[in-house]
Order: sequence, then structure tokens, then C-alpha cells
Amino acid sequence: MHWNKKLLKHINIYIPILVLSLIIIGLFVISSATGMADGNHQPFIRTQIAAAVLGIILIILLLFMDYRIFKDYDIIIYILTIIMLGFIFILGVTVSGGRRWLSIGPVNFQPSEVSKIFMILFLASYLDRNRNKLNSLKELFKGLLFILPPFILIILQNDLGTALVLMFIFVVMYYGAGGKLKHILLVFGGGFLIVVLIITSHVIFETPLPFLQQYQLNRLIAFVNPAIDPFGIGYNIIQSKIAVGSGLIAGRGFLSGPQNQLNFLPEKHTDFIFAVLGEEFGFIGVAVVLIIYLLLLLQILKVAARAKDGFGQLITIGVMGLFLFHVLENVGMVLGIMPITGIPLPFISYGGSSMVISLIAIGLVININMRRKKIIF
Amino acid sequence: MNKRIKLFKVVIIVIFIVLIGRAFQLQIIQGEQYYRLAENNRISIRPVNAPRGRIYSSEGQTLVSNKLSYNLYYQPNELPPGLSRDDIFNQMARVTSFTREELEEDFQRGRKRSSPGEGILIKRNLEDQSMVKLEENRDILPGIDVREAALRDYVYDNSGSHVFGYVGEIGMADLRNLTDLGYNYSGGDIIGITGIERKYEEYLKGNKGFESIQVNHLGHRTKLLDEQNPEPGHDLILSIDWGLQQHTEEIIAAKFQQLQDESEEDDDLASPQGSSVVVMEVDTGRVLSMVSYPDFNPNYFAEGFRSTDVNQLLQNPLRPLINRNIMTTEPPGSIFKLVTATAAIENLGIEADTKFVDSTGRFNIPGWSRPFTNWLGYGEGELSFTRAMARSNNIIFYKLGYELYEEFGGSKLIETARDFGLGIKTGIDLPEERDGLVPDGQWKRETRGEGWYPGDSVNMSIGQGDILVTPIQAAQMTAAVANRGKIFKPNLVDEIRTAQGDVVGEFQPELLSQMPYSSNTFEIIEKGMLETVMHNRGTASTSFSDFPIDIAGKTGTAQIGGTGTSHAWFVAYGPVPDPEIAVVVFIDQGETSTNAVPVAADIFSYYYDLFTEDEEIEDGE
Repeated sequence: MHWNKKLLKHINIYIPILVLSLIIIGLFVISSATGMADGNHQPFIRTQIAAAVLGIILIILLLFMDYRIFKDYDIIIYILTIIMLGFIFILGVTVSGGRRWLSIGPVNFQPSEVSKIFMILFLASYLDRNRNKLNSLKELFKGLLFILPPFILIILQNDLGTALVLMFIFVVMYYGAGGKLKHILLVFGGGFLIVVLIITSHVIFETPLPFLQQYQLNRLIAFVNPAIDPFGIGYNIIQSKIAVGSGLIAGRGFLSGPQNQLNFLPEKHTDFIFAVLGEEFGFIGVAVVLIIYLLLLLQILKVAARAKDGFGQLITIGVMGLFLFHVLENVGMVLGIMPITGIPLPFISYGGSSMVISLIAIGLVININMRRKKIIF
Repeated sequence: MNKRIKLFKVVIIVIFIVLIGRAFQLQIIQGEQYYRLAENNRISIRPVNAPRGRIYSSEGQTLVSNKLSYNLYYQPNELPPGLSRDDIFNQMARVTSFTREELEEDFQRGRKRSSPGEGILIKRNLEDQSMVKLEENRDILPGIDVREAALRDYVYDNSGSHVFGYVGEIGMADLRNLTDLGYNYSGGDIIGITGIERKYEEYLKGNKGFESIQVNHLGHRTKLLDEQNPEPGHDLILSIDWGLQQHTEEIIAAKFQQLQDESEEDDDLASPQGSSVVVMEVDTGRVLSMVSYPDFNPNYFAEGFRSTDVNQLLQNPLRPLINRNIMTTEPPGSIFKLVTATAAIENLGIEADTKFVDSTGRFNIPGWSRPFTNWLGYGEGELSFTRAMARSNNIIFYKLGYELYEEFGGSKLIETARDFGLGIKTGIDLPEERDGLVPDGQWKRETRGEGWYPGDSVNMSIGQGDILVTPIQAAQMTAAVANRGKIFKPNLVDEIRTAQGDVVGEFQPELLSQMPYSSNTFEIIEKGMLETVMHNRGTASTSFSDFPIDIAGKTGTAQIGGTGTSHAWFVAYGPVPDPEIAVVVFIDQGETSTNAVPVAADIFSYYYDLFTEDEEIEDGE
């Protein structure tokens, strides 16, 4: 243990403040989305607060440990991730089309959520160790070899969103560790083209579609053209845009958004919570929340820039990538510029796993920030 | 290293500029448009149908009313994601007695006429049994909605059916035309199709209201935002005397049945094809009874979708749906002698006691070989004019017709017929009335390509040839004799009232024309008609032999061109000298006027309560 009271002084105070304000805003929006007007919101709020408190306790516990300890266990962490994700096919609980939950005693949790943190830790260690070799294309494929097993396992449980998060984190960290932008663009641009070809061929020639479920394909089609089936697959996109757009500058007011209160919005307390925010608090609310996220991400980048070692820096970059992708994909989906994938908005969407994992990720950043190199002179 | 962090910074800032820019586009630039979409989502404006006006008899009995019924609607927008119409319909077919195919058919039909916000009407007038099943299975039938509706209720079923007509769902053509004319109809609305229901549609329908409601994503009502109550339609009070109407229906049905039975036993007798009776006040044109037989049950149409019953009606060769009083045009036969007599008295100086001779029972137009014959095989010898009427002697009337032709050309008889209102609609307040036909030279040239021959006038003098009349025209004509030359427009509605009881329209007798003939002329004709009915040699005397009041009448047995059969006519009014009502009985292929006469006698005796003991026995049944 490398604990020292002085370490607390190094903590960047903005990060906890920004995170707490997101959580508090989230509690208000969840209240509205879960029927505060009818008094049905309490269990949701209780769960959300409990998760936040649990997350904060975990952060505090985490602070006592030096993050560098994880470096020694990187292989174990990786194997644990694969086992966890594999277990879900044996013991998993199905929720709306995906097998995503695992129960251990009284606690239900989503291994794919946990895998995000584990993979950040593993990749940070792996990339840091191979930092000097990253300028070759071969190393990029080697890195991909490690990320593909969890990626495929998560896709197999129909969680395309989280799988894409993992891939995005890998790209960001690989670049952050010194990988060449040219290689990244080559490999992922090529990969993207292949995916587009496979899907096009499926739609036109009805060739079999690996990994993707029909409903996921429908989401993509509906993203391209929501009017194709306004009561079916395009419904969510249309209703979400209506909710946000009708909020105008100042919003309909707390608890007063008809799209939300009359249930036109789907999944409104989880994946589509940003639409509720947009409807009830308008452009002002949307801009404030986005600016808080922006500031948070910039603060995290600042921690990365000042990290004591390459390992810590890569963890921080991974966490930045995690939040950036979540915000981009979730908000983009609500605003109709990204396809629908069910990933939550960090700190705001209702959901215990997401809240705890997001807080742990913040805890890692604080930990690294606290133990940064001293700039005394 | 810092270079890479800086690139991240740039990427992050660009992403957030895009996100905020997109929010700005949705909420500020396109905000108004999305706001409207949200309001459309939230607010559903549903029309509320007005209760249709009721119809009462002149005595105040409720004849046509409305009753509560339940309609089944399908709301596609209420379907939860993942469920299709197929799932719901299969589910419904399982729990109710409706078949899957039937529901699909109803859906396809309903889809064409659905109006926005209302859902798709699948079934009207659900039976209790189906209601219970649907209610029990509500939870597994999302998107299925049962709503209250008013169902037209014809209280006495078949009685008065041809007067009331019926209502039904508005047709595509009607919808287009009425909407173009500025009326507020939408698909699936109930509208008068025939009869009074059609003619007075404008009064009966009332004005729709609306409800502006806030709905949730399932389309369920959460709040009433605004409403305008519908204005109920106006009530109608008919001139129909309901007791008389029902009595008339009974006796005409009995007579029809009797004739049908006789025709089955005797191959020489034609089977009757239908019958009609109209009773009209001679001094006003008010119609007290109007019966057409066979009749139909208008409830079949109101209830909708009972296509088997309706198909049976449509396929019935006796055509129960037509109102024979206004829609059949047939040769009048000897009842037309009222017209010929008028022309003869006015123009040839004929008096009541002018003597005529029928020595052979035959009449020849000079220079023509084919003789015109009487209904008797022999000559009746010397007859006065009134006796000739009472005996319905054709030979005398041929002579009069020929004389009119010789002295005035073919037009005199034709003009007189038109003075009596023949050849054009009477204007009775019912739709689909027909004109009939009073042929003339021009008509003959246009349709036959030949001129008007003396034989045409001779034929017309006894109501044969091309002349066609409707029973209601015959009633108008008969009443004109009784009232000394006044042609009244027949009328069925006495009063139009608002639902609150305020009178908005009141019947006034409408005199269409006053014929330019002296009352002496009509007195002579009346004398002939009295002899027809009250003198034991008259053609209608048997049924009236014990009548304490005097009835004037004229029989008619009209041959149908090219067939051996005849229509039976009898027109009458009474009591003389102060006649109140005219009665016209017509039996399509009724063989002889003798079959029509007793029906009229029965109507007079009922109306004037002539044989009280008999009535009491009937009432006691």
C-alpha cells in the first residue's frame, strides 16, 4: 500500500464534481421517466442511489490501492474476462433478446459491463509493455487477436453496442500507446467496408448473416430510413426525435413532457433517457449536460497527460474512450444520427451495473490522478 | 505523447460540437415542426356521432328510434411492438365465434372507410355473447376496442318499412357527392338510403360533435381536453295513422296470401307479384297509410353485415324492397275512365243521363277492321252515362275517346290526363318516385317512329296502350274528383321538431294546381262512381252492399300487354257527400279488380269504424 494523506491533495476536484452533477441530473430525469407524477418512481430512484453509493464506496476502497498493482495480474484479468463472458451461456438470464445477466448470490450483474474495465486494465498493461513495437501492422493484428475473443463472446449474447465499445476502447488505447493512425484507418476502414458488403449482400442476395440478429439488422435499416415502418422498427427513432425536437429552447418542464409522460418514448428511463432530458429541459438542458460531459472528458485527458507512467496514462485514455463512445453513441442515437444499439448514458441512464462500472472507471482515473508525478519545481 | 493527447482533445471537441449542433438543429431550427408532431401524437380528435332523429306516427307512437349497440374497432397503433394483426386476429378467432377469414374480410372492408383517429371498424352491433368473450379476453387482445354506438331501431320491424326506408353505411359515391356539396360525412357514417330516412336525411342526421382527447402511446384516453356535444337530429311526426297502417298491412298480406293460394290451385290464374295500398286525405294530400307488399325488415340493413338476410331480399323475385306506390308504373285500365269522363263531359256536352247504346259488345273505328271489345262478351243495350261508368262499359268509352279524337285531335284526352297530374311525379316526400307515362304524338314518333293513330286515343280512353301510372298518381287523381279539381301534393310528414320539442317545420297542404273544370263535371263523375260502388249493378258493389255510408269508386282491370294476365285496381273515396279519404288498391297481376275491391271496403270500414262489433272481436284477440 502506497497510502499517504498528502495524496488526497493531488486529486483533481473537478472530476468528482462533474460526475456528481451528472448523477444528480440523472436522478431527476429518471424520476420523471419512471412516473414521478404517479408516484411510481421510488424503487428506481432507490436502486440508482444505492448503486451510486456502492460505486462511491468502491472508489474509496480503490484509492487505497496503487493502480500499478493491476499490472501484475494482467493475464489473470484477461482469463477472468473470458471465463465470465463464457459463463453467461451456461448460467445467464435472458432479458429482452440478450443473455446478459449473471447472478452471484443476491447480486445480478452484467459481465459485459465488467469486461469493459477488465479489458481497459489488460490492454493498458499489454500495450504499455509492447509500446516500442507498435509501429508495425503485425502488432495491430496481434492486439486485435486479444480483443477479438471477448468481442465475439459479447456479440454472441446479442450486445452489439458493448462489443463496439470494446473495439473503440482498443482503437483509442492503441493509438494512445503509439500505434500508427495510418494502420488503424487501414484496418478499421477495411473492416467497416467488409461489414457493409456482408450486410448489403444479405439484404440484396439474402446470403446468411454471421453474428448479427435480424432485429439488429432492422435497427440499422430503420436508422437509414425510419419511415420504412413508423409503428415497428422505425418507431423508436421517430418518437425520440419528436421528443427532443419538441422540447424547443427551454423544454416542456420537469414532469411535463407528453412524449415521456404518455409513454410514446420507448426505454425512456434507460437507453432513451436523453430524449426525456431533451423534451423536458429543452436545448438548454441538452447543452448543459453535453458540456458537463465535454468538461469531464477533457479533465480525464488532462489526467492522462500528467499520469506518472505509461500504464496509468493508457488506463485513463481507455476510460476516456469508454465514456466518449457511450456518450457519442447514446446521444447520437437519441438525436437520430447514430443507429440504435442498447448502450446506456453513463451516470444518467437507470441501471446499477452501468452506474457501478462507470464509477469504478472514474475511481481508476482519480487513483491515477492522485498518484501522478509531483510537479514541485 | 502530447501530440496524441491533443488529437484526442480535438476529436472530442469536434464530436461535441456535432452533438450540440444536432440538438440545435432538432430543437431550435426544426423545433416547431417536432412540436406539432408531438401534439398530433398526444391529441386525438374523435368525432362523436349525433343521435338520429326519431320518427313518430300521427298519434305519437314511436315508430323508429335508436338503441344502444356495440361496435368492434381495431386500432393498429395500439399494438405493442412484436405483435402483428395476424396474432391479434388469430387470438380473436380463437376466443370468439368469428372466423379468421371473416375478420380479415371485415378488416379489408373497414380499412377503406376508416377515418383518421377512429380506428378500423370491424364489426357493428356485437351480440352479447361476443361482447362477453371479448371483455373476458381483453388482456390478450391489445388493439381491439369495443365502443358504444347508436343502432337504428325500427320498432315494428316490417311495418311501415316502405315509408321509413332504411339506413345503412354511407357508400363511396354518396360520400364523395355529399362531401363535395359541403356536408360533413365521413367513411362508415350511417345515412338514410331510401324512404323517409333518405328524403329527410338532412333533418334526421343532426350534427356531429367532437372530442379532443389526450391519448397515450396505446391510443387510450388519458384526459379530455375539449369537446363539443353533438346536436341530435330532428324528430319527424308522420301523417301516418298507425292503427290504420297496421290494419291495412294485415289485410293486404292476407289478400295476397289468398290470391297466391288460389293461383297455385288453379293453373289459369296468374300468381300475384305484389300489392300496394295508399290512403290519402282528399283535401290535404296527407297520406294516412301507405303499404307495399311484400315488405321487408329495415332492421336487417341497420344492423349491418347481415348480408344473408339482405341478399335474400335482393334476390326475391317479388322485389320486397321497392315501394310499389311510387315505383311501379302500370297501365291504369278502367280507373282512367275518370279522366276520359272528365274530358267527355267538359268537351262533348255529356250529362249524367246522356243515353248510349252498346248493342254488340264491339267497337270499330270507321275504316279499321280490327274491333275493340268490352270485358263482357255481349252488348249491354242502352245505358246512361253514369251506368256506363258503373258497368265500366268499354264500348261507350271507346266511342267517347274516338269522338274526342275526331273533334279535337289526339291531344284533348292527353291534356286532361296531364291536368290530373298523370305523367309527372306527384312530388310526395319520398325518393325514387317515378313519372309514369302519358304518351303523345311526339313521344310516339320518337320511340316508335310512327304517328298518333285514332286507335291510340281509343285505347287510352279505357286506360290501355302506352299510358302508365303509379298508385300514388291514381290517389292524387281520385282525390281530385272528390275535392272538385284540386291537385294536392301527397305528403307523409306533418311536423319536424327539434329533440327539445320545438317545431321547426309544419305541414301545410300544398295545392299544385286547380283544374279548370266545372264542379258539375265532377258531380257527374261522382254519380257514376257512387253507382259503381253503391248500386247493385255496379262493378264494385258486392263488398259495399251493407255499408251505412256512401263510397264513390272506380274499378280497373288493366291488361298487361302481351300476356293474358291483368293488374287489379280499385280507387275510391268517401263518404259522399263530404269525402275525407281516398283509397287506392293495386294488385300486380291480381287478375281482376274484384280482388282489389274488398281490400278497400275493409279499409273504409276500419277507418270509419262501421262495424264496431267485428272490431271489438279483433281487438280482443
